[in-house]
Amino acid sequence: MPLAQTILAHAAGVSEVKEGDTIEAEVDLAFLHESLGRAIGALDELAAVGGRIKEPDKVVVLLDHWVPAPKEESAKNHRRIREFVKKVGIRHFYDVGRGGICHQLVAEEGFVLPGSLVIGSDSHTTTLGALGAFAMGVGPTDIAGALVEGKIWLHVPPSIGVEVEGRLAPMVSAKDLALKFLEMLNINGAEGRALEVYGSGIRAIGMDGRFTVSNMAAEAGAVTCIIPADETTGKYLRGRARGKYFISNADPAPGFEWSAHLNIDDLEPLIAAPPNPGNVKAVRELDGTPVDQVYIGSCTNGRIEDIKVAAKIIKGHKVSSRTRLIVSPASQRTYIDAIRSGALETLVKAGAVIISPGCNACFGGHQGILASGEVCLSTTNRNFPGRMGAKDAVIYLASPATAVATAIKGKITDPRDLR
Amino acid sequence: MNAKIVALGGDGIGPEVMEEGLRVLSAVGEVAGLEFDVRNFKCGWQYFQDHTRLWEEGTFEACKEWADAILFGAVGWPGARPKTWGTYDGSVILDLRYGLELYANIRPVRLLPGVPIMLNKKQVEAWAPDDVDLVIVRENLEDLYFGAISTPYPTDMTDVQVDERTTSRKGSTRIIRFAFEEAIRRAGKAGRRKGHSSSVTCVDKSNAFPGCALFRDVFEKVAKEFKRMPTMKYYVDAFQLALLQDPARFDVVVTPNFIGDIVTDLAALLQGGLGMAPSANIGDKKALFEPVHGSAPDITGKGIANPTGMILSVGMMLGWLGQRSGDKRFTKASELVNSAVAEHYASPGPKTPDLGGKATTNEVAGAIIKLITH
Repeated sequence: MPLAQTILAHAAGVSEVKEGDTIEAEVDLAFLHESLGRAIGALDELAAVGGRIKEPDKVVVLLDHWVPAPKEESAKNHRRIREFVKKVGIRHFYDVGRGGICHQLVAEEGFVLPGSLVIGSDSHTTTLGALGAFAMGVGPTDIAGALVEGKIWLHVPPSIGVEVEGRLAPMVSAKDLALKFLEMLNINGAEGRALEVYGSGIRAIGMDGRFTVSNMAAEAGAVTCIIPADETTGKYLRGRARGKYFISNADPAPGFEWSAHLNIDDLEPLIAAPPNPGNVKAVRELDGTPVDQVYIGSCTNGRIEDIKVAAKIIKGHKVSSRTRLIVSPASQRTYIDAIRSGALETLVKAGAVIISPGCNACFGGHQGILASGEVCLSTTNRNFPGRMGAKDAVIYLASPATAVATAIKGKITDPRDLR
Repeated sequence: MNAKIVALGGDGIGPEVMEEGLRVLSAVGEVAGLEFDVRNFKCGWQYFQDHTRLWEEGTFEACKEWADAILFGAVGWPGARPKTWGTYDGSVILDLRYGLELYANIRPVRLLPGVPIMLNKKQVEAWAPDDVDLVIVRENLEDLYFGAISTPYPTDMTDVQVDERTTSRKGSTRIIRFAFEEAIRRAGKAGRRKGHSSSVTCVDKSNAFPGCALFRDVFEKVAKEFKRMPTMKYYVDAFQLALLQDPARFDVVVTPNFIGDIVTDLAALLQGGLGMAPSANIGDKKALFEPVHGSAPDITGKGIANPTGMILSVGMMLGWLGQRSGDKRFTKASELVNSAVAEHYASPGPKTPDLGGKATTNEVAGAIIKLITH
């Protein structure tokens, strides 16, 4: 069985599951951000008939989309959530100033373990598949049901296997690999499927890059994107993991609906142009396109490695007077790591503005919204019209290296062409 | 004389579209400064009914010894059923494939702007031209067809019929290499196709059939020789669905013979139907070019067959002659034909009934020729 099925069989307490089976699976972790506000009504109704949250310690609640609250409406939602978690006894609550973007937070706090079943109230929950977990995004009411039952109904998805071999060249990163997948799969090529990414190429990529790959799989419609846990995963989890886990070095088992093979030796910096993340081109094809704003952050590319790469490239340069550079660390921990490494000082000196950890402008929330006609190059995951502000603003998606090279030149620049 | 062509119109609408194909050939030859020596031969099941043989004497020899390339219409006629599939009393197309060792069947699937997709007699907006640009490379000599050549047809006494299936490492390697080389050709100098990822996709049923398992094993080995080329592997059942749902995912697709036979007709839907689909049967020395549609007895004699599949096959033939000889005039002539067809459909010109129009075979071909010669 592919890894997705092995994990689901375990969660369902059976020895084997098949594609298309409907199973009742035990949830190891459920997390919610501000969308909890939309589940509170359902949870109160369930509580009225005796349906209490089964295991509050398997639940993480945090605030990430509107932090700190930019308007009264979000402030009210935050207050409701604070009151609710206190009322029902959810200990793992990460308020403003204590957390970060949900996917980054639950990973770095050690809540996600290889082989576990994780559900989150956010479409990019696929990110956590990078830790060898079956992690999927579900709606807030589905989560409400799972909180009370401790279980969730699932259709076992078919799996697609992607073997990655080779090594990334300098200035080429996991984001470029994620975009390559989208070029191959398109924005719906993995619809309703579990992706399993394995092979020597992905094993040579660190955890931060793996999170990026699993994160962007959501744009191909994947239910989850599992990267089998290995020594790198184990190293990341050391000192964080909140439970026991097991790393198997077994080869991928047959049973994929279809499979792909990719060698990344010659992978070049890629970029997704509007109107969707599947519209992938080589960065050099768009070389010289003027850019008003560059945004580095989000659950896709706001991690410490991303910020360090940006700082390393920008050292000795300035942000072009034609553009502005916004940097948002993905979490409080990332923020501290970035301060300690000196990366933030380098970036600020070069003219970047550092904004608080959170989802911010990535989803068009706040802190870096685009005006009509503006062009933004962003390290985030979606470039649909209106995603970051005005409907007719233009959004390109690329790696942190491409982003910072572009910020220096004020126009789209392949990081290999800098200087 | 720059190239020698054997023209085999065959049955049904075959000779009707052949006439237009040859008209295009001579028109583009004049523009590109090329002369063609064309020899026509009669063949097919209609010919068989009057002559008790499948083709005129000397046809096969002309194809083998004289011709540079073969242009083919269609064969097949209701009621004319063979007792055996054997050499010279069997099948024109199989004899040519085996006799000339045409091991690669190439089916480009491209949706041209302006070509309507007709489903259940209604025009649908299912795919955009940018979504459909792939080539199916089908193994052409092995598989079930090889065994069928020497197997008698079932009679009323037959209770069980066993069809033998042959898959060889050599044959699989040859076709799979061809597919990888085709993907590299398509990527061109830039090393990437515009808007889509280059890739080679293996389509088989290796989870059920040992022959397909050998084919896939060879695919994995050949893929290592071309390690920069991304690859995908599909079982044919899942592939059929993915082809309709998201054709943009595919670049070059390689299949065993029988599977390729089936998926290529489905793929023709993506390019506006069988009337729009050209093909090539390529060997190391010879090649045969034919529209994918059959003899179409239902519309034979009405003069309404779509000549585009034939005209695009002429385009492929010219491209192959150019690739083989290095003579750029052929390549230019090929481009002229292909761009005239694209231009024809991009504007609201005459269309045959299969595309919802009212024009005749002759009118459509005439309009395309005008675009070549203007």
